[in-house]
Amino acid sequence: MSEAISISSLTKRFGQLTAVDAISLTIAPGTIFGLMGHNGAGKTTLIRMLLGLTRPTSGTGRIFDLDIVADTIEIRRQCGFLPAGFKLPGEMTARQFLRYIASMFDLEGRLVDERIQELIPLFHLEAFVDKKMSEYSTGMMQKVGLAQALINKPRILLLDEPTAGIDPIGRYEFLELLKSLSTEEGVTILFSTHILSDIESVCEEAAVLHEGRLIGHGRIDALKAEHGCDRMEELYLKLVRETTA
Amino acid sequence: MTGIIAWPFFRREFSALLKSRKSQTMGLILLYTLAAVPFLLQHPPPEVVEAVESWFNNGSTFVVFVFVWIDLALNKTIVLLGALLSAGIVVDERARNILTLYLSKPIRPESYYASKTAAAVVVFAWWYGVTAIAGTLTLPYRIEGFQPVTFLAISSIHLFAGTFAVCLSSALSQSFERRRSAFLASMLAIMLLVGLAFVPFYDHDLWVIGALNPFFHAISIFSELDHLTYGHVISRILLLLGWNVAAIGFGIHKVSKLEV
Repeated sequence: MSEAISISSLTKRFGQLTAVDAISLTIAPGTIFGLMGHNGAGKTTLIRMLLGLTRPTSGTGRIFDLDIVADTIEIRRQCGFLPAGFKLPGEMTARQFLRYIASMFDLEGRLVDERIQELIPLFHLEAFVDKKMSEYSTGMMQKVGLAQALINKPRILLLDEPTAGIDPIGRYEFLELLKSLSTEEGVTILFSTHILSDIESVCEEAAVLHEGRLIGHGRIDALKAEHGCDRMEELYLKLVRETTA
Repeated sequence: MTGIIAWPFFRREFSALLKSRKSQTMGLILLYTLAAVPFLLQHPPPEVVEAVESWFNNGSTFVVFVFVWIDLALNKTIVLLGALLSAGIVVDERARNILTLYLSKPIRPESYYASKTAAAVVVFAWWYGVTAIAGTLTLPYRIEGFQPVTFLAISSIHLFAGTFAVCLSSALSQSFERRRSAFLASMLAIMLLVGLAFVPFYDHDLWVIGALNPFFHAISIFSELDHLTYGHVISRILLLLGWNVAAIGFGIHKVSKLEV
C-alpha cells in the first residue's frame, strides 16, 4: 500500500522568505502524525501546499497516488481540512453550514442529511445544530469545524492548530475523537500544533519544523530515546537549540 | 460559462442569499420604488418633461414614466443593489478568515467565484422580475396610457443592465482586501457609468462614450419606443449579456491568481 502522504524536497518561498525549506517526509496510512513548531515555522504553509492552496516553489508531493499540484481537486475530495483561526458564518446554523460545505463536494439531499445525522452525536451538537453559530463558544465552533472536515468521510484529515483556544475538557474530547477516527476508521491525521502535550497524547510519529526546515522526524518514542529526553518539551527545545547553536 | 458553475453549490448559495436580509432589503426597495413612482408622476417636474420631449421627441405620460422609472428610479437603485449583493464575494470570506476553509474543498476558486456571482445575479433577477410583473399588473391602473408589453420589453433589457452592475461589482471587488472598500469602489464605478449613460443624448458627438457604456444601451431604447421591434430588444439584450460575461470573465481572471 502506498504512503498516505509523501513529500520530497518540498519548498515554498515568498520573495526572500523561505517558508518551507526542502522538506521530505512520509506518513503511513492510518497514522496520527504531529507537526510541531512555533509560529512561523512553516507548518501552515506545508499543509496548504498539500491541499493545493498554495503552489510549491520546488519539490514534489503526493497524497496516496495523487500529485499535489496536478490533482488538487481529487486530493481535496479525499481530504478534510480544518484551518487555524477560522471564523464560521454566524448567520448560519451548524446544519445549514454543513449542508453548504457538502454542496462544495457536489453532495446533496438525503445523503447529506444522513451524514449530518451521523456527525451530530459524534460532536454532541444535538442541542445546538439548529441555532445560529453566532451564539457558539470557541469550543463549539471547533467542533463544527471538525464536523465540516468530516462531511465527506475523508481518508486524510489535515488539522491546523485544532486545539488552540479550547478548554481542557473540550481538548480532551477532541483528541479522543481523533484517536477513534484513526483506530476505528483508519483515517490518516496530520495535525499541527505548538501544544506539545497534545502531540504526546495522540501521535505515534511527529516532525519538528523550525524556520521552514525539518529538524527532527520519526516515531516519538524513538526520537526521545535518540536525544535522551523524557518529555516532549525537552525534546523540542533540544532540537531547536541544536539547530540554532 | 455554465461549465464553470458548481451547480449544487450554486443552488445552496442561491437559496441562502434569497433568504438573506440583504435580499429582502432589496425586494423591499424595489417594491417601494414601484409603489412610489406613480405618485411622483402625478406632478412630474416640468424640466424632466421638457428634457424627455427634446431627447425622445415624445413627452407622453408613458414615455415620461419610462424615463422616471428606468433612469431616475431603477438606475439609482441598481447602484446600491449591485454592490449590496456582490461586493463581498471572496473579499468577505477572506476578511473573515474562512476562505481557506472553503477553497480547501473540491471546488476551484474560479468556480466558487462564478457560482456565487451567478447566485447573486439570479437573486437580483428574481426581485427585478417580481417587480416587473407586479408593475405590469398594477401600473395600467395608475399610469395613463401605460403599455404593458412595451414595459416588459424595456424591463427585459434593463434587467441585464442591472445584472451587469452585480457582475461588475463582484469583479471589481477582487481588487480589494476589505468588503467596505470593495462596496464603495463598486458603488462609485456603477454610479459613474449610470451618470454618463445620458451623455450621448446631450451631445451626439460623444456617442463613443455611450457605445462603451452598458447602461447607455439599456436606455437608448427610449428613442425607439414608438416603433419597438423584437430586433431592438434582442440585440440590446445580447449586447448587455456580453458585458455581463465580460465582467464575470474579468473577475474569474482575478480569482484564478488567488493563493490563500
